[in-house]
Amino acid sequence: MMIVIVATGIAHALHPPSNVETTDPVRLHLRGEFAESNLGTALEPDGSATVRLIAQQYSFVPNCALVPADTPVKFRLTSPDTIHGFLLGGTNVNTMVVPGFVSEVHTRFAAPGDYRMPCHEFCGFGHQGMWARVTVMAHDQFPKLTSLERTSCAPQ
Amino acid sequence: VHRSDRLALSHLWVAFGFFVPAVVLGAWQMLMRSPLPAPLDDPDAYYASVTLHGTVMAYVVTTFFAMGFGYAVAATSLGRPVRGLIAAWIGFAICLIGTLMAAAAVLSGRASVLYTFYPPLLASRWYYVGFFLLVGGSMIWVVLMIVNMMSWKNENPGQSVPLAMFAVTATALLWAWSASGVLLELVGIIFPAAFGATTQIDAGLARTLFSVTLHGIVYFWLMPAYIAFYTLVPQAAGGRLYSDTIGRLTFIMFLVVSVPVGMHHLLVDP
Repeated sequence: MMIVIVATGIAHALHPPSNVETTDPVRLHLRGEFAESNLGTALEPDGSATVRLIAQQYSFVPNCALVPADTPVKFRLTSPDTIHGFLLGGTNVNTMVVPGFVSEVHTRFAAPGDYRMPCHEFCGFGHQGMWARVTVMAHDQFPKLTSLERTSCAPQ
Repeated sequence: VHRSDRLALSHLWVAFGFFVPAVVLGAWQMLMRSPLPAPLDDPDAYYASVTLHGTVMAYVVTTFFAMGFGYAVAATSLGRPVRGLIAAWIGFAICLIGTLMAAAAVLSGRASVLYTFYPPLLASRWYYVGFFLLVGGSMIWVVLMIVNMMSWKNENPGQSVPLAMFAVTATALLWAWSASGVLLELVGIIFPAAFGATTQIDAGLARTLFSVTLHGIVYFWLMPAYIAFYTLVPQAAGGRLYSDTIGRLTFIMFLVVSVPVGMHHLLVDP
């Protein structure tokens, strides 16, 4: 039985929900993937969407992400300071955001809607106020937005 | 045997002496995060309270209880006073001093990092040193459990060690392994940063080391209960354990499984 557990574990379960990828947490702002101009949602040539976010004490940057429904979505997050958490209520999106590492989560939203996105790993005194929102909108409305609109959501 | 009683009871008194206020803190935290009114509504005190509650429940209560339980089992199951009484009291003192240091640091509001430390967050060095003394001091107990079992074996050749003592020694070894992760994290990563020798913390490496402790420690908490179920409960029920050999195998398996078990925290997290 032990052998079966180990074998199936290695074959099917032994992988992080995220890739293991390192980055320099103190130089995020200078250049590269997580420079400010790259944050938010980007549409890929294959039709999928990539959302790049920075989790920092005590906010997500940007603090709201718009993503198209019924589309493969890839979240890529990192932290310049402490450990944070990334969780979308009601979905299987859940990962830690560790400084020095890039967390990656793949998902797909079936229908338009709003998801709250609280930091769920203790990151200091402001932790309980650190949350953001992911707004899923209909796929056909999405490409019409400008890049500025994609990194911010309408106030609600 | 009387002096062993005092040793064991002192450990249990400390365990429950910290347990009671930690329960109160837990209830207060619940009120703080609920719509109900909480006395002393101070958000900064909340994380200090969570840290103290976690440190006490995860380490202080469990370590002192397991140590006291171990000494009691050594004295009763082997039917003789605990060997190394002076060393045991020294270990008790080191653990208690460490606990008080850590508790004072948390109560002063300078160590609100929760009991898993969350590096690269940093707390007062007194918290980490106190924590190190508590966990490090318990290694004296680990050595004493092994010494007590081995000396009994040498003096009673051909007889098998009573199951309770066998299981307590397995617990001690399990704890030595589990604690090695957090001790290495403290010495290798946290102390240099807390004392100002380094300015950056490798959060990934710190988590990797802590993962060794992270899950094994849960088994350490449970072991006294399992030992009671395998040895005290059958006796109290007026029977005996169905199979002594399977009982021993259980505790060996526990020890083996505890070695890699923390790894899944690294698989689920980046």
